[in-house]
Amino acid sequence: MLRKIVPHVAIIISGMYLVFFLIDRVNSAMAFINNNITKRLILVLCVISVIEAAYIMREDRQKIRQQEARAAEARRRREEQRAMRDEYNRYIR
Amino acid sequence: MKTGTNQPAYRPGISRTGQRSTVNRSQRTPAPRGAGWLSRQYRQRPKPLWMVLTADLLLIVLSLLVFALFHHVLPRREKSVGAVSSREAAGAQAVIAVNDKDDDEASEDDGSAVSIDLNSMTSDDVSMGEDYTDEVPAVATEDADAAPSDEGADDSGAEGQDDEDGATVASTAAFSLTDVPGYFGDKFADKFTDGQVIKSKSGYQSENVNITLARYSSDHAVFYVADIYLRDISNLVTAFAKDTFGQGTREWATTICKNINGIIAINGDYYGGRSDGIVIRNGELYRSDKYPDRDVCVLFWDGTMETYGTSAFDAQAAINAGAYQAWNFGPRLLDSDGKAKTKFNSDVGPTNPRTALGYFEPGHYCFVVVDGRQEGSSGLTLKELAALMQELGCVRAYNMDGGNTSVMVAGGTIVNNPSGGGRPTTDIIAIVDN
Repeated sequence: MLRKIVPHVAIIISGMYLVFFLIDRVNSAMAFINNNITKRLILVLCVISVIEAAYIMREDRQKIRQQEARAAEARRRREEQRAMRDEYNRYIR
Repeated sequence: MKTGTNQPAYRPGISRTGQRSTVNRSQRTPAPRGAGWLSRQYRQRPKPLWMVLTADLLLIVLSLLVFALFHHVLPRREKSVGAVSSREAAGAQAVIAVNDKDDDEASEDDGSAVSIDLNSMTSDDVSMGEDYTDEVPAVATEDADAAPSDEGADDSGAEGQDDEDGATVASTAAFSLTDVPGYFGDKFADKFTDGQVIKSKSGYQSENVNITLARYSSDHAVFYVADIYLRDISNLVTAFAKDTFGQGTREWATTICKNINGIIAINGDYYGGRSDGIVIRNGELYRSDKYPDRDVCVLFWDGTMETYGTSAFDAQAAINAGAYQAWNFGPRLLDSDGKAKTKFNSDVGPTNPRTALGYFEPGHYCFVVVDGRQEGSSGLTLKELAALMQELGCVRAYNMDGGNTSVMVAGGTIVNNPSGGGRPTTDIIAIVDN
């Protein structure tokens, strides 16, 4: 479930920061960027980004392993079929 | 598939025994044992993309509202640093040097100057309040006889007159206050009365304070100038909303002014809208973290006012040098020579309502408030405000929080026309008659 929530949290915090940047350009005196709350939000965003990156890397590695496993399985089946064909041909002769 | 069997044809949703399947057809993978409802939802067919994006947008809005609640609305008390300055230390204020090189880091601007000519503007009637009329109260004969031309340090005849008219002569110092930092009674003796309070429509005069209020109109701005003379620096005070130091605590300027019996007041630097920014009020250091890239204004106990750029500012050193008040909003409007600056350390250069504090000499100050964002008065740019302060004759001038916060209170009522009806503020600068 965490894998599903993390991207949405990243989108929400990033969206908030986009709004902060826009407002800060208009009125920097309100300190939307430079305050304790937004500093903590940045920290959360960094942690979320690391978690999301870890998930993505794990999924990529799983995909690669699955692809390799499938390729190995296909190779094994091809070899089995070749062996059966060769034996059949020998039997016929 | 077997042939020749009497197996029934495959029909989706119908089991071999003829019973309808109870398995949810949208399920792709069976839920693991013990999985809850939420887990099952995530294993169903993914929701449409538009639904996901809409939900995220709504959550962003909700999060922004929660942020605003904690950032603006909910008050948070802060603890004061606690350092206190003394009037006697005011003579050492020179240890804090002004760095004009901070101007090099000012916001991008073409550097062109503007000029303001007060003579070309219309001077309008203004009233300091309902109690203020042009009827000058009758002067008592005792007061007239005792109207001194040599008051102040001269106390040779004071003791004799004390017995006959203590109220009048009491204002004459029994001892010399000339050398006391922050006392200007001798320098501006002609500005003050001998005890009576005169409230005219455009001014207030007493034995401690002399205020003259004027309203000017140009082609695009209406602004108010309060010219202020003080007998003592302690007649200029600052006050927090609800008498509480902290973020998010706001109150209408009229209420704050009324609570401290202020005669005239303007909004301060809205310190409560930020978590940093130097705050020195009435001689006490509340916050020492400088607001980055913002100029600082310090009013010392001896009545001098100085403005500082964006370089590092030591608040404790300012306290040790006798800082009485300090604000950290800015920008400063005049350079070290008293000339209007054309580049500022600020992003709010465009036309806006403004509030500014001006300094002529120790004991002589001015409050300036500019109406804006409304028909008849769009406001002033920082350049125009700086030119105005120079035109008024100020040698130092400092911009306070503007926009909807800009307000001038006199006689218990708001004198100007605040943008958007004004808004509660976190602090004010006021003149009191103590």
